[in-house]
Amino acid sequence: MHITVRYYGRLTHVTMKHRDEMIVDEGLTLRQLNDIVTSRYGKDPVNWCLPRPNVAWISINREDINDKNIFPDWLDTELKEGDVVGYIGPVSGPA
Amino acid sequence: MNLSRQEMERWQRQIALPEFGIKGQKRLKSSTVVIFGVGGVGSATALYLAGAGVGKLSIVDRDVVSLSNLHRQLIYQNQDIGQAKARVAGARLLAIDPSINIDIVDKSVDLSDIRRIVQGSNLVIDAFDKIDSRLAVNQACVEERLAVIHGFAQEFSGEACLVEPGKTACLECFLDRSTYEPEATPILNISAGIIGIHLANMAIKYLTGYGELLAGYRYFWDFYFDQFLTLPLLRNPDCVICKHV
Repeated sequence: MHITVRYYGRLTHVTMKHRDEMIVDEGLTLRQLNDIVTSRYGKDPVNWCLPRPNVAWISINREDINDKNIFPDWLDTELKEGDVVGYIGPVSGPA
Repeated sequence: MNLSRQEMERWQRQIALPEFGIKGQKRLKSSTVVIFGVGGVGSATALYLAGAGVGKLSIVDRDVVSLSNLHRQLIYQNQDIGQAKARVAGARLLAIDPSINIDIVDKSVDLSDIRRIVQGSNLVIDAFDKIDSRLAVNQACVEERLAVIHGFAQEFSGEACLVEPGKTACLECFLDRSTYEPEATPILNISAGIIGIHLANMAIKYLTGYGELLAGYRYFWDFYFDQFLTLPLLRNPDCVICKHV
């Protein structure tokens, strides 16, 4: 299936791009996508998006993955055809 | 505190909002806000707080206006190049409303200066551009139990967060210290402007109490994709600054 991965803020300093279009297996979870992104770009981008053991600064289709009403399975949410996953970098930057 | 006839006219369009009203206007007029940094973000915040009717603004910035500031720091003009930002900004704010009480600090400030400057204020805006300066503002505000709104902008993105000491994570809990700090960061002018105006929006809500304001969350914007998100910020139980607050 096809998904889009977007990289926000400082993550683009590592990925050198704003988005990836990916063909992935049906039933791929967000946790497994994290592994794919890590294998492509190293551990920094995904680690920056996991600042605490129970917080992830990641969105699916513009919704916060930490919203348990929408994503009760959190990182184990299964992605679907056409999903857009956003990785949001760390709090940083000048004004 | 009463509003004069002229003040009623100046702010009539926001006083006409039932959620805001005369009560909100009086609260703004009796408020003191400190703005650390009047660059791209802080200068936009200052303009909107001055227009909204905040009674006292303290403007802190050691920098001078340069040509490369002018694409995003619209409070300044060509003729201001080489002048102290804090002084020029103060003059522009007084041109909007001569009744504003303005304090200017146009030199470098350290932690003890910041502690002194924030005392007695109702809210602090952190729009500094260096990590160490931001963390000093955070420390002073945590010590004084003062709410502070931090704003960040670079390239195609920006964010804002309200820290309430003792209730939310503080900047020390979540700021990424590995950030590389170049002398000049690429940035779209609108990234700074939108974040600066949103800081003013948060400040006005905090000071007047209307509407909803999320403390302890990141308000994050990406202007490349036009995506907006609010994301949780958790306290660090081992934070050296706020763990005992």
